[in-house]
Amino acid sequence: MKPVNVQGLMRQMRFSLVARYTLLSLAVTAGALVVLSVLYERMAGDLYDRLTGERLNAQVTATASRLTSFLDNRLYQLANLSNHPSIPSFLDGQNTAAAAEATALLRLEADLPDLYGILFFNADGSLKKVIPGQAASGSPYWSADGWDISRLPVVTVDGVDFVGPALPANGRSGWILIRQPLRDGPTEPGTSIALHLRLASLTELLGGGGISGVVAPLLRAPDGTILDATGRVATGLKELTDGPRILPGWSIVLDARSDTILEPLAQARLWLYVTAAIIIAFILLVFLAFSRSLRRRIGTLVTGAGSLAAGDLGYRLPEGPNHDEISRVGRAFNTMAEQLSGLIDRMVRAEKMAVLGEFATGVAHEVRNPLATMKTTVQALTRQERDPDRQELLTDMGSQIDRLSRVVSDLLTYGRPSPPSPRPVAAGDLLRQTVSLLRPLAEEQGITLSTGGETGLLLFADPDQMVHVLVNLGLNAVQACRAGGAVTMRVTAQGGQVVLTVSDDGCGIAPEHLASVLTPFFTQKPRGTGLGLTISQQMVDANAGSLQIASVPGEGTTVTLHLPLAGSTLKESAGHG
Amino acid sequence: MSACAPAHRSTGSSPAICLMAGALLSAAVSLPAHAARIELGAPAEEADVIVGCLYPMTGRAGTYGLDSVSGIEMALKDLADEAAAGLPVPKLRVVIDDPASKASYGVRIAEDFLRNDHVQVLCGMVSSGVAQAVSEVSRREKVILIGTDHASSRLTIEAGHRYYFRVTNDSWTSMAAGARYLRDLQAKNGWTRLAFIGPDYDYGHVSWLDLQHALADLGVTYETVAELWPKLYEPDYSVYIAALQQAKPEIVVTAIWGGDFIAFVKQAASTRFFETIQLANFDTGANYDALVALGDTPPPGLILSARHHNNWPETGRNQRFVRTFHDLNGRYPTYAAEGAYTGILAVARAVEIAGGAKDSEKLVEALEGLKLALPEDPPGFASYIDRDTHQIVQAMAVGTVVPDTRFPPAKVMVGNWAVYDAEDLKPSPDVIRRRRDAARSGWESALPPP
Repeated sequence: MKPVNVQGLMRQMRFSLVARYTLLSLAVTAGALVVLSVLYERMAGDLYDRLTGERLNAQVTATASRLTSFLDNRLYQLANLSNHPSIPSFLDGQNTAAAAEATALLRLEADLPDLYGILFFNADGSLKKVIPGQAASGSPYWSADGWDISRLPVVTVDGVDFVGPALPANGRSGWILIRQPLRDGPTEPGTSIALHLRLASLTELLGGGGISGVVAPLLRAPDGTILDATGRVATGLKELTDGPRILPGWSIVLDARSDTILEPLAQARLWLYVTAAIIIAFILLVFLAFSRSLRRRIGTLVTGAGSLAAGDLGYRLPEGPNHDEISRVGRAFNTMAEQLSGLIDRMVRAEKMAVLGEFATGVAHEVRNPLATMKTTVQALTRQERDPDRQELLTDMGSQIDRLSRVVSDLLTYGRPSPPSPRPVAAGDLLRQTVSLLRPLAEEQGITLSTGGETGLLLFADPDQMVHVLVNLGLNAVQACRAGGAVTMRVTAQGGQVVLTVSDDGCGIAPEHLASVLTPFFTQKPRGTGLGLTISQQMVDANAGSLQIASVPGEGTTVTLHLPLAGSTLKESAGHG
Repeated sequence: MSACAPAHRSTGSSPAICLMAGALLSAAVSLPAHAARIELGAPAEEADVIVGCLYPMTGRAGTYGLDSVSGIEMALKDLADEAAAGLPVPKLRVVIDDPASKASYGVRIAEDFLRNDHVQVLCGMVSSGVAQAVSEVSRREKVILIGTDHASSRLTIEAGHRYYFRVTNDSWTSMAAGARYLRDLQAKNGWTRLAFIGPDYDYGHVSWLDLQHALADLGVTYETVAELWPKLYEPDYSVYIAALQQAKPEIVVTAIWGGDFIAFVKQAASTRFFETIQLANFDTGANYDALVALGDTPPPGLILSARHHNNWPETGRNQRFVRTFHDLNGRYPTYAAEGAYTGILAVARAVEIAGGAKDSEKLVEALEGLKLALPEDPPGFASYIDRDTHQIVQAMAVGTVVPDTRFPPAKVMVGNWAVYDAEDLKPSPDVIRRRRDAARSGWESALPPP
């Protein structure tokens, strides 16, 4: 695995624009999270203070008031019963109207849903009589045996005993007794009456989970047992705080379950931090991936610029499917390189042509006049010569002088190109003239010459120069073909331009020569001047066109000319042979 | 026949009772603040037997009293039809009064029935608390008491006596069926944590004992995570629901009934109670009024049964009973109707067998082992009264809530039935002996150790 150059990476990051933007984003995100966390902590603290502050005191006071009021009502009920004048008759088992009245009264009073019944005790604490209410169940109503209250705590307030609590167990409910001696009278001394009270009727008044479950009010019994709102022994107690007293030994205690509310808040805070860490990690990962990609792509741009600077004008950046800023820079770079390469090519060619043109013109001027003199002299000598051998030699010399004259003429044409006089001209006319000039040579060499395409197209160019170019290209094509070969000239329209192609099925051009065929004086023909294609390109350029050559060795060559379209076209059918 | 046909109902202290009852039947939610005495059947001078019934017609249990009255009317109509067909059917006079769900009122009304109306058979009671007190009157006065609705099994086991009979499923029957359902459920989902919540009076406590005995008999192992005892007609169950949720039971069995059960379910449904807990009510949960209250989106996981179902068994007798009740009252019956119907039929058959109602001892003998073909009997079975406990022996079906609109306005009924044979649901002689011995020895119950 490639070792990580940490220093290098750090240096890259220090100067990386992406790194700066990412670090800024991280700083903003982390700052926002810190601010949020501070606000959150403050809000949670305020919430807890509010829930456990003033409102709690009011709640506890109200709860204590409810319990006291409930007990007051039961004490009032008990006082009324204990003082009722007909109760002794009932206890004595008399069959009197007073006893019947007491029975009806006791049954009615025992029917409260908060009571299991009303009990009478002897002076020794043993049960004397029981009056079951509708909630009565189990001991001591259906069986007094096993009923034992001697071990229950007793609190006495103003002559009233609060016995219990008896805790709920084994399918039985919890209860307390509120017991008071009967008033002095005919009953046995020490006889007492008790309300058998549902413990849950008292504890239910504590309410549910306190305020939003944060602080649970509970009831402490004289034996220290802590009871919950359902009258059962409370479990899982947290932080107990003493509340108001209900009776001696009976008081409200508060179980501050701060975790009830703080735990969810702490959990939410934990999630907040975890989420923040994940977000920051995600941003870092995105940064790393993004910066790596950006570095790679910018590196490509830098390499391209370096190659261009080193003179490699053909270097082009790869253009991917993206349409982002880097891709646009890449495309702009390629366009720039293209234009720069073209500009330099044109400048070099122009420079070269200027030098060659000047040289050729000078040579031509110096050679043309002596050649003319030599031609005249040779013609005169030929006419006077009688010896056939010498006459033949003179004729050959005349031919060579003619050839030299053509070379000089080409040099002059190349060195002093005449400016074109462009005008609309039918492509078909150009092709016809060209074919008529080439046909004798083609027929002589057994080459088929044909034209075709949209010959009615009008192109805007100098017709003489175009014929010159086409004849030149046609000659090259004919000379490249063997007997039986074919040369085709076609004309088409493409993208607002006229496209003229001259194709042959001849020997083709080797790839290594293809780039040089437009160079002046480059020729592969034994009697060529190497200026034909150069002059053709010069003329095409002068007529605002372009010339491209494509060739496959052994299959043939196609020269394509792009020239301006003149606008309207002539109605003329294609296909001349 | 109209529910207020003069041939079958004569008004007592209030001439407006028929109109009042009609209004009540058409809108069960608007119960009267004070109910009046109702007299049905033959005039006192023509009656072969006078039956005094106690049903609440006010408060949360008022619907059951009104349905019981309709059940009695249907029984009287069936008996009248039999008489018209020439069968030797005794003429019954039924006097009904409202004990307002209070034991003290119940005792006083029962005593007044005996003293003023010369009632030979007592019947009725929705609350077991009232029934306990009236049963003592029955024992003391040696007058037959036919229990038609209340269900504490203590009344037939520990507190059973010669003159007390009950003609609907009691808490033992329901809990025996429930225990079998829970056993089968445990085999499927492996529940182990059980909580019980019942009303804090005899019926609630006895139901819990019955369930524990039945589960122990079946060898079901479980952990009791909570026992809670809200009072009867508790308006706010929030502390109990919270306590249940904290105990994290998988199954909560409840004996809360009637309007209390509906209130409990609604309050629990407003919490996350039903997300993790299945609530089972084997004795009263499938009562028709509870199913109506569940609406069309009942909480999930309810396991319910009741002492009579409008859609089970799908026998002609049950369908006729439900249809006739609906024709009479414009609504479908709660199980109280079939209980009262059964009670009156039982009295008629016993009087017929005993040759009159003057001798309570002969009536007792006639009632012991009496067979009755009832709407809730599945095909091939007829309910009968057990000679030992005087408890009617009946089959039970327990199920879950399914969409069913055949009994509007209920949108759901109980389905997916698990049916338990009557003989399997009887307390074993051993259980009866142990419970009676325990009561005599002063212990609360003869529970096996948890």
